[in-house]
Amino acid sequence: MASGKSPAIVVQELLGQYMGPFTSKYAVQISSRKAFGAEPEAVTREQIPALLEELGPSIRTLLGKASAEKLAGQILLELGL
Amino acid sequence: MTADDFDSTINVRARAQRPIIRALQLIPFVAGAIVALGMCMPDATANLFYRGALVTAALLTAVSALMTSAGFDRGQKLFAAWSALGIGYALAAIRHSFRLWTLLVGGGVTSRAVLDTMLVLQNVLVALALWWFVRAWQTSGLAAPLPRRTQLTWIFLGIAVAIVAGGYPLVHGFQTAATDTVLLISTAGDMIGIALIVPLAMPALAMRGGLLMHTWLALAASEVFWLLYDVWVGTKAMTGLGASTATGIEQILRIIAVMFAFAATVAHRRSRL
Repeated sequence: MASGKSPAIVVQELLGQYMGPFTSKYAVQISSRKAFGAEPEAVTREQIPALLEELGPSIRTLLGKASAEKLAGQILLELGL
Repeated sequence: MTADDFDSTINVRARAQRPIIRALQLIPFVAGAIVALGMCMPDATANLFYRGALVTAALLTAVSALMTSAGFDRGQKLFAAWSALGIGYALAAIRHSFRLWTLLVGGGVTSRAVLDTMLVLQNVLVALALWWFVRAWQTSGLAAPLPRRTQLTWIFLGIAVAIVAGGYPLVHGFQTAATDTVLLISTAGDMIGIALIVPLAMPALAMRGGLLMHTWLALAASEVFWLLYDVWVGTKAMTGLGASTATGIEQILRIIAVMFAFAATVAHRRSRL
């Protein structure tokens, strides 16, 4: 990664555009701990699809299934996954 | 690559939508300013004008809410919430259309049973919709836990405000239920909405800075203006203002309340991809 930001933090920032930085930080933190028992900074790029899977129900609740899938797809694309 | 290496599509889109969604919050006040013109009209014309404005606002909100619900799957709370809000406002538009028709040409649907049934359904559906909005947030897994004491404080505060605003009309409604079902049902529905102002505002606070904030903020604002409307209806006689001015203010508050609900429907659609 060029800038050194961890991929989970990138996910957090992109989700923050929709749910605000406070909620996205909380969501990514909780999901990282639940899925991997790790803080977001320790989540690897390869673990991002699983992280997005964990976040899926929450994002679908707020945005609807179609939009949530598009958002997840765009995040993966932008992370080169 | 990260979001810093290039301007991500998500960031670009959010930046484009943000000013549009913010501008939506001005629509209710523009509508209020338009309705204020009724105060310059003769009473009979003003009545028609106010009723027509209300039908238009309710219809716009109904259609927009149903369009927004189409973005969710059946079984999702926000599908139910937007659908209920849409149908509720559709019933309001139809009911007020009947009254407008009667004012314009006489006759039409004047049956109390029909009109009161529509009013009851409208109030139940809108109250349910607001409850589902609150529950959607609470069950999304995104609500950061607040200390129990803080949660209860806010809940009781909301209920207290609802009781203060709606207590007298509700008691009066119970006493005159046989002859004034409208007051009873309308007040009960308003009280539920008022009690939900804080639970609706809290997701907005949690999502501050995000596009979705504006949806819950507009819903909370709508209920704030319904609160102001109820307080005004209960106290306008004490203000000493002329009847046409007092009625004008009442209609302005009502239109702003409805149009904030409209703003919420559009804000949610604009927030989605």
